Amino acid sequence: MTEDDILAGVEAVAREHLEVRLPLAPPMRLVEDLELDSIRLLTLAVEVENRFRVRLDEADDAAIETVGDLVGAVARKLPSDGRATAPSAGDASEPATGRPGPIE
Amino acid sequence: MKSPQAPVLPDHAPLRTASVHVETLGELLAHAAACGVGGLRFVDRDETAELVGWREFHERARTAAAGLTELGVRPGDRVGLVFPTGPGFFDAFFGAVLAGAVPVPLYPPVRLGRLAEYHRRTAGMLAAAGARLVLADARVRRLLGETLERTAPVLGCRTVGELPRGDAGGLAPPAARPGDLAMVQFSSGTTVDPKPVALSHRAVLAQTRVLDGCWPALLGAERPTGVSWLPLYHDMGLIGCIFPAMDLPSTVTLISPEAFVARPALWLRAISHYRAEISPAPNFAYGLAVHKVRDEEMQGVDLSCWRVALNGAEPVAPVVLRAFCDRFARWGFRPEALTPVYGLSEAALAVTFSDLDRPFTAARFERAALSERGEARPIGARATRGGADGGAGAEAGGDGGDGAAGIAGIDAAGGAGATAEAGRDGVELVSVGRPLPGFEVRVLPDPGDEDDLPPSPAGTARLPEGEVGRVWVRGPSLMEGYLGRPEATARVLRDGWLDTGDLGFLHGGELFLTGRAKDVVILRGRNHAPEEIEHAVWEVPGVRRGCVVAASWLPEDAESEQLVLLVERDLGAGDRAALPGEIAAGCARAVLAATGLSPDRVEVLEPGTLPRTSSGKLRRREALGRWLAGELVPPDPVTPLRLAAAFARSGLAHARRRLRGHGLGGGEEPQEA
Repeated sequence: MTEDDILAGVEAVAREHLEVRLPLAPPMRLVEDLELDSIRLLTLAVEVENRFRVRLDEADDAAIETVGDLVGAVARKLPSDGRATAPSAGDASEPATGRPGPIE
Repeated sequence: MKSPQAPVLPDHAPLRTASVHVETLGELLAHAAACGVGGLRFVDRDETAELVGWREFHERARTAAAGLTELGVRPGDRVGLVFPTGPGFFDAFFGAVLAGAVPVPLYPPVRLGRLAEYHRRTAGMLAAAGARLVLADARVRRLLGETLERTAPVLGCRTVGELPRGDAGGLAPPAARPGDLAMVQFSSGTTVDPKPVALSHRAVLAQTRVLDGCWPALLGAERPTGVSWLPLYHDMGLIGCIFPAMDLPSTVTLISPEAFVARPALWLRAISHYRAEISPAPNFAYGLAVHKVRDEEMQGVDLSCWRVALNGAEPVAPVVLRAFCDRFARWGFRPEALTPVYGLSEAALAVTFSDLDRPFTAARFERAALSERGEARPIGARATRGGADGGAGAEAGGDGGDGAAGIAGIDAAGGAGATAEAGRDGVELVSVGRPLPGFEVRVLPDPGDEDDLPPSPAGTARLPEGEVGRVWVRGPSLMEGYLGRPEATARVLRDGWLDTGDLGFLHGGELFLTGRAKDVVILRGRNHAPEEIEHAVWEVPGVRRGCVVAASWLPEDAESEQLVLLVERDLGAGDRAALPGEIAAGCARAVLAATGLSPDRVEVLEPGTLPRTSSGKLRRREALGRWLAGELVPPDPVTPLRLAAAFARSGLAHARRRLRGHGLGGGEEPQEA
């Protein structure tokens, strides 16, 4: 997956979950330029993680200020074997039907 | 890593209510462990669950406590906790408790948030609490460096795993007494004025028992279970959910607040799957669920088990309650489950509850009477003083109080665009119910100016029903005070009563809130100090430094509180003055960067517009009220000619006061006309 693919995926998340409709460019700052408040930053982080099936940790988070930073952080977390699948058109994690995962 | 489950007693085991020997949080944990029933179930965003029983928590806490004691933590020491929702929080919390220390839960950093602001805020809170040690989750700890440098707690920062090996079976610290501090919670986290609420064991347990006392008659079930996504550093999340579950004991299913906000369906699905009877949330969460939950996510979900849907921590919007009932009726949600409640962290948590098994009560009141005279006249009922409900008509002494400024939220926000029909229909308010057992609520005259100390219930007659005033409460779970802040404490704890700083009236014995006298901004169930928001914009080009008011209010028909910023502009020198639109945009960005909050409105005003006290202090409540009424206009322009005349006529002192009243501090040049 290229960084362009990741950027497209982040754009899709922003469109679907944050109603941000403008095309994203790497230099855009999440707070100043996209005007994301703390709830929307949280939503962005979680939905990007879900879409790419990665987990960003707190140290990653702290270094992310722009769209480009976010794309780079995701790229670093993806498997480096080049066989990672492209994100699906819809949400990466489909909700299960009424019964959640394995429970005691 | 999943932990072995504690053995579970059969359902028909007798309910062990907390005995008289449970008088501290440590004893509460021991009691829950001894009963061998229940615990905490942690559900992550993939809906995978991990159950940890109370007995296991107790053992882990004893190990942690021994380590803390070995490290040098002494009884009474405050220990800051920075953890996400998870078992680690409780190991640290109960470890501190069993060591005789006082846990102080703090917020972990927000996702992708601004660490600089986080450090300032957290450092301020740790300093205010006088924490000697910080316990943190391993991943969070890496980020706390700057915070720790600023506050330098004597014992540093550790994860629970890094505590020295103490002697868990050895000499225990002296047992805590009921009057000792149990924990400290922050009513709002700010850089400017953090207020650490100090709660005794006695207060926390009294609140716990009052909450658990509500369920038996209603539910029949001996051990109702709950679901919560609320943060554990929030009173409704910790005192509201965890301690009552230890008291019964039973099980609470916990979802992290981050997981909830990103996917609100998790909350409803968990309630359904685990057949929980009780779940609390702030008003905004019900709105979030209405808008963000998709039908596909609700497949197979059955909410009929949900008997108590508490709604508290922020003003309740009737439009949201109705929307929630309408949306989720299809999946079995019972409207009578909705239970608006009222409380504050200074009272540990809850003070009033509405009827548990009836739909919420909303009533309409005449708009003009409410906003102009502070009189709540129900639409359709005969509005005589004392009324058909009786009330305290015989005691109607005292001024009705200046309700007008206090109920700004009711007034012109709806009135500005309101039709005559809406005016006839009046203002709709939701009842937050009646005092819980052991609590009293009184409405007293409100001075209308935050500089004046409001009269306390000792020696001042309460207002009759139907009159808006300041809400005072008394009960068994009041705080000991604000830690290290005797003056701030003395302002609100007086003669055994707590001044809530909220405004409202009683009607039919039920409490209706109309606004706030205190300046706190409440958004998404969290309190924020207005100063924090205001200071963020002082350096924005075009803003008149120190001439900013931040306030929040619940507009009629709105789903949640709105944040407004009222900003005086600096006219600057000639053509270098910034345009109002630029100033507003700059302010919004500055607030967002500093606080993560997004203002709903930024109003740029002419200099000297914001009302001030005679000593020059900004009057936030009045500013909000006047703005909502469309009344914020600049004062008469002060020209040099007028100024000279004023001096000549009335002397220096009068002219100085007038200058200050226009927002011109000493030494400033008067503005041109």
